[in-house]
Amino acid sequence: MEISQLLKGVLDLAVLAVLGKEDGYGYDVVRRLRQAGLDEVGDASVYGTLRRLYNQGALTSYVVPSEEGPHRKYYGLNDAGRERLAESAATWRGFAATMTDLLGASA
Amino acid sequence: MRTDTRDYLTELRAALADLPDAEVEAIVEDVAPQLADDPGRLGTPAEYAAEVRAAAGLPSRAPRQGLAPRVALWVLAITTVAAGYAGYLNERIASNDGRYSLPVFGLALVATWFVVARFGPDVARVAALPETRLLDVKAPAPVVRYLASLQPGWSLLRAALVGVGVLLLCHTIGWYPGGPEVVALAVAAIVLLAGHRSRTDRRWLWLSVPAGAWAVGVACRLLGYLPLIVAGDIGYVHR
Repeated sequence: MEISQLLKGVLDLAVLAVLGKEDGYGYDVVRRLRQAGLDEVGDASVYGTLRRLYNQGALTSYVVPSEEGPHRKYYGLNDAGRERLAESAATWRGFAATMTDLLGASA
Repeated sequence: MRTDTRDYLTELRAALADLPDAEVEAIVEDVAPQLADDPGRLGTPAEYAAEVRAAAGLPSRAPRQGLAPRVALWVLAITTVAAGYAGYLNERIASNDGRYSLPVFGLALVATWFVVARFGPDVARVAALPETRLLDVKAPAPVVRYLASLQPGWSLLRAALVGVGVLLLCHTIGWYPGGPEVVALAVAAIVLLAGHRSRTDRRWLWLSVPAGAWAVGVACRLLGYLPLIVAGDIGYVHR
């Protein structure tokens, strides 16, 4: 099964989860997703997801100057974002449990 | 900022140019740190822009409306009106009544050629114009079916009337290159072809719609002669 296909449905949740641990700028979020094991995540998809979540009012953003290069725009969860993370996480856990049951029964 | 980084961001801005400025700047701001560090993974600016749009739920690049489709539509409208008038004037086109409209007909022909040649098969953009959609009135299905059933007959009638119009015109201006009948037949055949082709290639509408208007104009002119013909005053238009 293509991981990239599965990712499409859960990228929002993955980005919310990363930002739930700690605020981050775009490139930082991409790297943390990769470190977590989501190697196939597309860079532009992550940046686009950040913009969509921000435009939907789930994120705050602030700029931090950088000594090495261009300034960094950090994103973090606001109350709406934390609520959404909790809801989505519950949905995912329920879905994952159902799939695990299903596979266990058929194996 | 390195030159290639600056070029990348310039191209990225261009690929996002239809979006609000604030959104474009936000997208550019987001990607700048990675561009300075690891630009290899990002793809071309166009690819990056398309993927960001898709993931962000932003509209994909809107088809450019621009001036060209609007000009094309107006050329069609003006040519159609001019052709209808010319069909009605017909053999009087070289008289004082019609003389001053000749430049308009000439310009309309040149404009039509320009539209068809320059525009290519991209006339879908004309159909997407708000003023075109305004014209797209939804008729009840039986009416649409009835009109569609008239289409083949109208195609033939249109070609025939255009042929008659050409015949009248050739006689009036004394133009006999190989016989006006041959010219009239050739023009009628082209009109028939244009009507057939316009169903699949909409560019032919720029010929078939004005031809239809011309045919209607010719029909009006002939109707004007009807009482004379019935009274037996004229049998053949000749001076």
